Amino acid sequence: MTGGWWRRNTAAVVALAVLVPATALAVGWREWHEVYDDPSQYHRDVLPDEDGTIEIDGAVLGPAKADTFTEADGFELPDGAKVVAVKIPVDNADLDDPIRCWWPTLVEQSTGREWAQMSNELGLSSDPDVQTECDPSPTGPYDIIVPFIVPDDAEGPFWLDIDPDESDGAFARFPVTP
Amino acid sequence: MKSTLAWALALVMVAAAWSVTVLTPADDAGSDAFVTDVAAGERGSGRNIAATVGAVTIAKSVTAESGWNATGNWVVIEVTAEASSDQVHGLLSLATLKIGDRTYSASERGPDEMTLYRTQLVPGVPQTGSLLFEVPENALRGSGILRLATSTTPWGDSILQVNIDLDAADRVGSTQIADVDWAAG
Repeated sequence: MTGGWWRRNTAAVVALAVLVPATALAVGWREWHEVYDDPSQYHRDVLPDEDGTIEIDGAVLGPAKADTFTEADGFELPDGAKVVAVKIPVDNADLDDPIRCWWPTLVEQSTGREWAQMSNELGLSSDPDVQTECDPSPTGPYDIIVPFIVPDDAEGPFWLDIDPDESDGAFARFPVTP
Repeated sequence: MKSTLAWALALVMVAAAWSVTVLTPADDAGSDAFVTDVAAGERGSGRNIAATVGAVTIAKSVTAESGWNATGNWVVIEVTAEASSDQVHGLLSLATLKIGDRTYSASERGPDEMTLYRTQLVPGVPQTGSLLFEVPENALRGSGILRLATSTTPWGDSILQVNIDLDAADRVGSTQIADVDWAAG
């Protein structure tokens, strides 16, 4: 009786055995593809080469250098806090299409805490020589210098992230230790 | 016997269906905020906010350090706050005071540096400032609920909720509001 049923429906059972996993795979792949394979859908980090530079969005960034500053360096700072400043050289390959980017951010590798630049609060924003983001005007090599106010317990290592406007979700990530 | 069993089974099924309906969370429950109750004077922390509520003052007139001045019915709440993880998304963008059925947003009047409202909080480096609420005179009694968050629509995010005793607040004619500053260590 049972054997008869299986024999009569062999074709359908085989078709089911193929179609059910195929459906799951097709739906799953599509979802995966939309989220992970479309570069505009996600951010991926680009780490520096051996020489410490990153080529991104038609420019060469780096090598990045970080330093710690305290009140002894003339900054007015809250108790229990210090300044971590990072310098990133920028060299545009095509001066007619210079790299544009958001303000760089500083990420503590061990905790993921993320700081935004504070040149305004530190009284550095009026200095025309201090560039805190990518210079959108056609210009030769220059340095981005970004200061962050972080608590004393944030000792690094950090990442300095620079997110260019037109890089399909890729951003430059420099490991820095002040 | 058989029909009794069928009835009992049917009743169990109806009861089960009813309890599933009752127990099912609302469609938007997935985006509910995580509300943390914090006592005044104690430090509360959430995903990207940590705050301590200090003195509460009710004043008829407030004056900023810059000299800006306004009369009205002001509830002034001192708050020390920092971000927990992310400064870029750490704007103190939700600060409301619920008194009775009414919810008041922190005032945007006056100079920006006078209020902690919409200040960018820094991970690990606390700032102290005031939140000012302008409310009708008859709302100045009983208690209120202060809610703080670093997003205007904290879907699935943290809200700190502090009970404010308005009856115990200092009542003064006029008060000086200190600008937002780094909290003393």
